Amino acid sequence: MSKNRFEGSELLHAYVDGELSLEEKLRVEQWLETHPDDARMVAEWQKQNQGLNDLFATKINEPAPETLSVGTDSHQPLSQNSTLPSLLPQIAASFLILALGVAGGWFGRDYLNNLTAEQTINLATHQSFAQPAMEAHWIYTPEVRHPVEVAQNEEDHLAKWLSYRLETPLTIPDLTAQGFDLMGGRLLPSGTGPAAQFMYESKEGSRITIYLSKSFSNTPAEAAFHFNQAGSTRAFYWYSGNLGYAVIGDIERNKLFTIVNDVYQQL
Amino acid sequence: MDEFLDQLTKSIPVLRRYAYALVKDSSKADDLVQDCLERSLTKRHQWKGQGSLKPWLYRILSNIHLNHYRQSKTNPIHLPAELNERTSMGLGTDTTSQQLDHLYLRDLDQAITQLPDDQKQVLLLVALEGLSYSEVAAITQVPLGTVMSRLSRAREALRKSTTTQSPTKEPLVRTDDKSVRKPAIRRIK
Repeated sequence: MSKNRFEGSELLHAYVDGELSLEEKLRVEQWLETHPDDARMVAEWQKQNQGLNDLFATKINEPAPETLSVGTDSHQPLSQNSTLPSLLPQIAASFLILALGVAGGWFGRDYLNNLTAEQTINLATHQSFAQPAMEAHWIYTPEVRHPVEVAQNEEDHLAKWLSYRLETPLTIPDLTAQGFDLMGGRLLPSGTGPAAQFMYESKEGSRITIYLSKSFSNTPAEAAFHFNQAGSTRAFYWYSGNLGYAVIGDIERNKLFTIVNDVYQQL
Repeated sequence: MDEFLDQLTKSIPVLRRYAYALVKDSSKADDLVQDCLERSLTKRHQWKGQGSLKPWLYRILSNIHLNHYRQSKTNPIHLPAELNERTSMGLGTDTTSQQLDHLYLRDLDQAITQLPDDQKQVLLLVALEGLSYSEVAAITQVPLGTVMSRLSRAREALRKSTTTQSPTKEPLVRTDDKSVRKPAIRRIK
């Protein structure tokens, strides 16, 4: 598997068809962020893939006509083939069992495989992204003994581990200039796969968290922060590349926004 | 349980889908699958018994399809009525298609029919059946580079026939919530 298997537009096709290694994939994604024409082309091909799957999805789920059922019918064409009679009992037995059980599972499997990233996009709406980020903030920031899973003294390991799990290179922002020191981070479940949380603490004991998860949004990065507030907890969040980011804290909006800009610059 | 028959039976749904996408005619598609199943049973000794049976089955089916087309020179031009029926069937029963509008799917459906067979096979095997480029190269027995160029030409042809003909549906191409909101604002004006 040499790195130069694909060149030029081939690389974009290979990206759409899942032929690339993680490393190659990330490189293409970086390229697409700054090359809107290519990004449009990729989106078009992804749409074609989905369109093809939509057009023919019914064929997968529809029951096959009996004539195609490899052998239960005595008048079906297979029995006319002189080389086959010895196989027929086996065929019939296999089919009866499979038709009831395995086939159903198999249909389901293929159906699930057909759900492309594009269909998942709609699940990752703005609201559903801020909510888990805030919940994670509420659950872990009050912790005295176990606020983080991997502590700041293992910062390198933490970054590598979470990069690996989120399949994206992550850098942990340094917020000491804002008066917040890194405590550590943890891996979390989310609706779009593994999510990461980094926690910071000020000298006064105020804690903020940064939450990252896959957004599945293949729209170009939006140059906008979204704001959300619940009680005294405020969150800014945005999307960049294939990730969604949230910065959450029980602090003043303006102060939080300054931190958000700092985080944004560092990521 | 016989591994071969096990895999063969499990492959029927995807073979039917692939065959239908190739010929766009339910009974012809099932004839193709039937031929493919029969041929695979008579040739089962050729299967090495390792890995997935599906690529091998796709290859048999593809060959039958191509040979059939060579024999019957009358390459039927599909009736619009059939296409429309097909498209609406797909939309009526499949909830995943909500994001793509009728017109796009109809154009796409027609565009696939007009593709040359070699391009159509590669496109369907990659984009619909989810096979890897190297599997498709083995199935169609052409080099990887040829697979890529056929795929590229097929996608370009589909793009042309789904975008240039109907500029009016341009705003619907994007499926994010902003583009959905846009028409509503126009209505207020």
